[in-house]
Amino acid sequence: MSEPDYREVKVEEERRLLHSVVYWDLAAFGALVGAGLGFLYGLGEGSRQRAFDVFAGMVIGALVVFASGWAKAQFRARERFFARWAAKRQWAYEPSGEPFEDTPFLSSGDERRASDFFSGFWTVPGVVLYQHKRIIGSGRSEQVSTFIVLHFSLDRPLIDLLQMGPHSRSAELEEKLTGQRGEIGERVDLESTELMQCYRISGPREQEDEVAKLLTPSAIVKILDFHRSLPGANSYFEIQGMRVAFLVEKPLSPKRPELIEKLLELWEPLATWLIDEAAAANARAISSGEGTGAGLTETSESEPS
Amino acid sequence: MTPLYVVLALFALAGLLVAASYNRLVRLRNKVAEGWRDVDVQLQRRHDLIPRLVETVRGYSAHESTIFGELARLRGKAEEANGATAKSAPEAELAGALGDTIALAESYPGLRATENYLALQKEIANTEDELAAARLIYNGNVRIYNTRIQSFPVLIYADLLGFEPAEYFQPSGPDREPLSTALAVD
Repeated sequence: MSEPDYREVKVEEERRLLHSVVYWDLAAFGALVGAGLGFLYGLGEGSRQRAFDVFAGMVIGALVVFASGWAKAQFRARERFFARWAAKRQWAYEPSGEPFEDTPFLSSGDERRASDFFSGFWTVPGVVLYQHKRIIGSGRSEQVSTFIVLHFSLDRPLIDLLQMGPHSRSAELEEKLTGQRGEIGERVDLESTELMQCYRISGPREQEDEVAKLLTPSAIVKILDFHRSLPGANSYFEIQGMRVAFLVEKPLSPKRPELIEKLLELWEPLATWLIDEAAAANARAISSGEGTGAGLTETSESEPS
Repeated sequence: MTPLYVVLALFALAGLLVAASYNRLVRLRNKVAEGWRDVDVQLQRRHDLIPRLVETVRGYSAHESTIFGELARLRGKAEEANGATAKSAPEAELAGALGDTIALAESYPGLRATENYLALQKEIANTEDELAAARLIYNGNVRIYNTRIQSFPVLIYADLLGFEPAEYFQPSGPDREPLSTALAVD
């Protein structure tokens, strides 16, 4: 199977739309409805003005149907391309689904939407990569941020909460002024100046030692390597109990599918490190007769809400 | 009176900026010290593993006393050295000798198969990985700190306030393969 080309898939979808009888029928119907509405709108006017209103309504009605059909074709082209692209790699693809909301960052915002779920790229079960949209506010003040997320669960909880994200000067200033930690948690100071410059690291109050224990020098170097490989991108890491989410603030675009592979390649050492750490902790717990998942609050398997 | 207030305000502002910069330099210097402590811990772990390695290998190759003697001598030399620059050369030599000892051990299939040796080999590999990472973090901290104290306008007062450039730790030469990559752990 050859590598799918997004432009080809798009042209194919557009051609299919233009050759669809239903599409033209709907456009005619739209024009008819528009003409009717134009007629009603121009009832009180003179005949010339009414004729203009009918004509304008016709054009607008037809254009609305054309535009929505065209948008749908673009949407279908995206889905078809991603499905073919994933199949070529023997991965699974789901165009839509519910967003994961099991970590503080993933559950933040007034509304969340998810799309383009990829899985099956690693042998580890339950690893999913998808597009996550966070919507804050509504109407004119609505702010939409789009992230590519890698989500997976560990064998055993590693830490109650660890969050790493880019520095937000305004949030930090607010924190200093108000003394409120808010959603960004207690700041954790690690030995690497470089890492502290790249990320704001936070965890629950009085658990800085746990964070420092987890973020060994080799783990810090892995995170720095990731940061250097993706300069300028806003990247986030979150571990809450067993749940892990890696995020990069970028949209998933069929025009640049190679970004998915690049991110997976960059995230793999970090995911492997956490999976190994959890497996080692699990083995230690079993050998000491503690059992799996003991000692921390989070024990249930992660599921999208 | 107004020009006087302006001058005083400017002095006060300059004082605040120097104080903020001073605090930042202290933080950076502490990070360098903290990074070095991590390197030192890993170096100590490496040194502690040497007698165990020698004991394990000696049982199979008692006649190779020269290499063990050399290893002990280099370990002593590395432990005597103080500071990043002073430690760089002896630690590089020690890593070389450690590599030779591991290569020697690898030539005895009986030894290679023992659980004790496999565990030791894994521990050495882990230590070397952590040491390499700690060194990268330390050198990164040194780079940021040195850049800061050598940049304008901090360079004007850094020396006066007692901030001296930190030393890099470079135990392997550019053409030397790191010991961690020479260790093949399954």
